[in-house]
Amino acid sequence: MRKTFFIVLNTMAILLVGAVAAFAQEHAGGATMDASALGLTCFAAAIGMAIAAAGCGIGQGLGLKAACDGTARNPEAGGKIMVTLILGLAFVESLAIYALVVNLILLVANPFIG
Amino acid sequence: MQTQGTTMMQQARAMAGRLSHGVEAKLYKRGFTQPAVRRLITWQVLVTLAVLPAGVLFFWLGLWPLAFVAGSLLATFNFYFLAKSLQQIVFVKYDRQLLVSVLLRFYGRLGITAVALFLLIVWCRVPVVALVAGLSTVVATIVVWGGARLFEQNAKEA
Repeated sequence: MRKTFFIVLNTMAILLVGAVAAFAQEHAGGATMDASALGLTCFAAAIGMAIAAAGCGIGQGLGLKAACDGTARNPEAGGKIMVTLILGLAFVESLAIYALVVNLILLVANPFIG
Repeated sequence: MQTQGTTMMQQARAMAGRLSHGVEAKLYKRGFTQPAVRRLITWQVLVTLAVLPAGVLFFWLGLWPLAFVAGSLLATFNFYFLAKSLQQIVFVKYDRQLLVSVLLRFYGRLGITAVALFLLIVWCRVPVVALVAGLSTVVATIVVWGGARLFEQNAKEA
């Protein structure tokens, strides 16, 4: 587990360095933002959305699993369970939407770019 | 003066009651058979209906009210179709065609939300704080609805 974690971290670090270098080459001339900052911004947006999607996916999956279990054990309680499930899914989904908004701001409406 | 104010309050409450009843009836016709879900969505629709004229009235303040209205509409659309698809999954008998249609609608909803957000943020350049506040109306409605239910339960037990 620990080894896998270190491998993932190292891969991310290598990707980060590579992305910065690539963006530095591509946008060397006309970017309004520093090339390395642009690369880091894109990388941050991608990683941010990935983490948000993964977290929300895990949360929704856990909720759905528990709801299916509950309904299978006690079908009569299906209505009440579904109300709670809808609430939980709405909460979780709104988090993903917030992450999407923040990432869109980072990518295409960045307030720090002149 | 006070009596006139009280009468106006009563009239507004009666109108809100009628509106709520109408929305609930329409939701029932559209397949929202669970009373709790129906009530929750009615609350959200009423919040959006209240926000709409306010946003139009205050449009001279800039893009802020309109961004709030857009966020609120988007959140209501999302919530409505989430509840509808979940109801279909749980209460309608399993059918392969239904499964495909529910999946398509689920991802279609997410795609529409993403495209709408993209257009609002990138093309229209709406103030994002107002947009996020509008999107949060669903969370606020759920919290208020949960609080009201808890209060009702406690009142019944006491």
